[in-house]
This record gives sequence, structure tokens and C-alpha cells, in this order.
Amino acid sequence: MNTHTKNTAPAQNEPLPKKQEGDGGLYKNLNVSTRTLNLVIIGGILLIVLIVFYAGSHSGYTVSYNSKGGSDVASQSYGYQQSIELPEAPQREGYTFTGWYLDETCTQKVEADLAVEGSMELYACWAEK
Amino acid sequence: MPEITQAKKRNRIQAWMDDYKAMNQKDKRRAISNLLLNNAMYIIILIAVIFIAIREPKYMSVTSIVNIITLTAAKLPIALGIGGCIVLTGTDISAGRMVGLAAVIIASMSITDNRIFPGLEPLPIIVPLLAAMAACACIGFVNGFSVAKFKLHPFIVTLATQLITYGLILIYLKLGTNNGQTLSGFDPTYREIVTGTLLTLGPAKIPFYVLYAIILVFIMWVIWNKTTFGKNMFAVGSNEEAATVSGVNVSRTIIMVFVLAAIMYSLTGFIDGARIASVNTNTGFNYECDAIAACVIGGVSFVGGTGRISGIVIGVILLQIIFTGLNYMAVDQNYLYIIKGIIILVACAIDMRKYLTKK
Repeated sequence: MNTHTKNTAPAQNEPLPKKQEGDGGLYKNLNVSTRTLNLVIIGGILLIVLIVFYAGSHSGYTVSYNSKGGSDVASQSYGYQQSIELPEAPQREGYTFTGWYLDETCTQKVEADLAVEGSMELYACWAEK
Repeated sequence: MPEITQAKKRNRIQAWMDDYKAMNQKDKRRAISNLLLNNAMYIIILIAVIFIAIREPKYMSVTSIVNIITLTAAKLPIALGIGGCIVLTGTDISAGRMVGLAAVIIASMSITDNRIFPGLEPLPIIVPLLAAMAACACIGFVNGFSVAKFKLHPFIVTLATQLITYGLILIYLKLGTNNGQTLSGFDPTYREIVTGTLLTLGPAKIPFYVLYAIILVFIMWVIWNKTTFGKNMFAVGSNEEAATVSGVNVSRTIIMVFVLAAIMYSLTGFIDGARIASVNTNTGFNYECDAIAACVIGGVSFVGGTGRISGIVIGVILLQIIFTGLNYMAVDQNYLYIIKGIIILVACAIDMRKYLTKK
């Protein structure tokens, strides 16, 4: 089990422990049969495959738009690293639209060629007329 | 060295083949099923890669492969740190938050428009880096001390320090006039040191931090394999009582493993701040899950005293390959959490199975 201490030369000063039988660590009191573990492994892998297939067939990242008081904007669906196509500017009485932002506090503006890498929500920002 | 490992590997396969030939029908079938089940994780990842590559040809492009390499490099230091804790049959679930703390500390001293320390110009990058290392090392010391002296299980200790660290991050981000906001607008020299271009491969650029990750792998390999501390770590992980009897200072070894791990987390934070270019309370959140999964897949066993640096590197690469692939398939992030969780469980079951069949 302890493959590391086997082939290495002993250091000069401190005494080194000889190769020992491990005590099993976290599996010290393991009480499970190999058959059960086989089932867990196969079951787990099947579950992963099922989830990947399910998620793969329902794939696409949603970009939703929060117009923060302006007219509603429909959300869009993208593939991985597709560039974003920003929708038409929403309308709001008494305000001018300044752009779409990644955060509600309007500090990180969305560039026109942003590559989508996950679902996200974009926020409209407004300047008073 | 590589020739020797190559020869050893060939011998292992040869030996397995010889054994296999000498078996009767029933044993042969058992040997095959053992082989398949013990390597189930690698087989499933291989199948997934082929499947994704056929469905999304972009996945095999240079850009994608460089993307996998750079993300692997970014996640390597934390996995190298956690690997040591797992060798001690423990783990460290405060790792992700420590990455966050390091990133926040480094960011607070190297942003141009500083709201945390108003008026502070970006310091030479070594100062914030050392500060972050020191802060993380302190938390690592608390982890190690509690595990070594109070004999508490690392899960409990690091759960506590995880919460404490998160509190510290939140308080730190409220300092000055920042009021908990995201930190961005980094000093260009800091970003250049980490994300500057090391190599250009066609359309893709390999940043400097890939080089740093390689250096860290080498340093950790030396520590694990060539130092007394490394050998003591494996001895303590394998059997603590036996190590005590052989004259190993068990407490000191455990504390040093946790402190070393904490320093690796701070380096992850250092890389991540510049890589993502903005730092907030959620930086580093859940990073430990990926790192633990990578270590277990890479054969760092919860049995203790077993594991190799090369295994950790392979584990991180494999996880990155599969998750980049799932990204290309546009699988929703929510499913990725479930898949990651099952991967950890299955990897542990495989690890247990190996332990049982060896025993």
C-alpha cells in the first residue's frame, strides 16, 4: 500500500519509519461487500450517463434581461461560447437607456461580442433625461 | 527517471498479462471485471470525450485544448494542497474559502481605485502575495493544530474554519467605503505577471500561470518524494501509531501539511484574482469539491499514505476535460453540480473497492 516510502533513500539525520501496514485510514471499519460496491459504481455511472444525456438534450444557456422598470425584453438561448446578440433597447419614460450590464450597479458593461459561457441575467441601466 | 517508470509500467502490464494467461476461465472473467470496475472512471471519461468530440467538433480545436490546459493549471495548486490532507486520511473543506480570502487580500492591495484602503496605490505584487500567504498559513495552522492536538476529524475542523474564513472575507470586503462590493480594476502589472502571454499557439494564448503551475507541481513532487517531511507525511497517513513509534513527530507533520496546503490555496487565489479579473465574496466557493474529486480520481486514497503527484495532475486534467466537454454540450451548470457529486461518490466507491480487493 505504501508505495512511496519503499524506494527512497533514508535521510541522514532523522530516523525514518520502515514500511508499515496501513491501518485502513477512513476505511478502517469498512463493512461492505465488493458486490455492493460494484452495484454502487455501476449504478453511479449509469446515473451520470443518464443525466448527461438528459441535460445534453435540454441544453442551451439562457440569457435573461432585467429591464429594471423599462419595457419587457424576452430571454434568449445560446450555445457555449456563442457571441451574444443584444436585443433592441427597451423603453422607459423619462429615462435614456445606457446599455446592458452584468451587474445591477451598472459597473460592468456588456460588450457586443461577449461569448456566453453560462446562464446569466443582464441588467438595463438608465440615465435620467 | 522516465525510462524507469516506463519500464515499470510495461512490467506491470506484462505481469498482469502473464497472470491472466495462467488463470482458468472463472478467474479470467473476474480479472476482467476487476480491471473494468477499478478503471471505470477513466473508461467513462474516455467514452464521454469521444462522444462529445463527435457531437461538438469544436471541442477538439486548439483553442479548446489550450482552454483545458489553462483551466487545469489554475486548479492545480489547490488540488496539490488538498492532496496532502487526503494522504493524512483527512480532507480540507475550508480550501475554497481560503482561496477567496487570499484573492480578496491580494485584490485589496493591488486595485487602482481602492475603496478598502482609500488612497492606497497598488503595492509591489510580492507584498500582497506574502500577506495572503501569511493569512492563509495562519488558518492552515489552526486547521493543523486542531487536527493534531485535539484529535478532531479534519472534516469538522475545516468546516469550522470554512465558516470563520467566510466571515473574515465578508468583514474584509466591508472595510473602508467598499461596503461588500466586487473588487475589480486591477493593477496591470499584477495581471500581466499572471495572465501575460507565455506562448502563442495559433489563435490561443498560453498564460504565465501555466508555467507557475508546472513549477508548483515540481516543488510539490520534491517535497512529497525527496524530503523527510514528505516521507513522514506518508508514514503518518499510512499508520499514525506506527509513525509515532518510529519517532516521527506526528503533530508537527500534520500541522505542516495543513500549512503547506493553505499556502497552495493562497497561490490559487493569487492566480484566480488575475485570471477572473474581479473578486467578490463568492470567489473560490466550492473549489474544494473539484480538488477533492480530482485527488480521488487521481488515486490519492482515503486509505491514507497512498498517492502521487502525477495522479493528482492526471485527476485535475481528466476532470477539466470532462467539464469543458459538458460546457461545449451546453449542459446547464445546475446539472454539473449533481454530476460532480456523483463522480466523487463513485470515485470513493472505486477507491474502497480497490482497498477491499487488495486486503
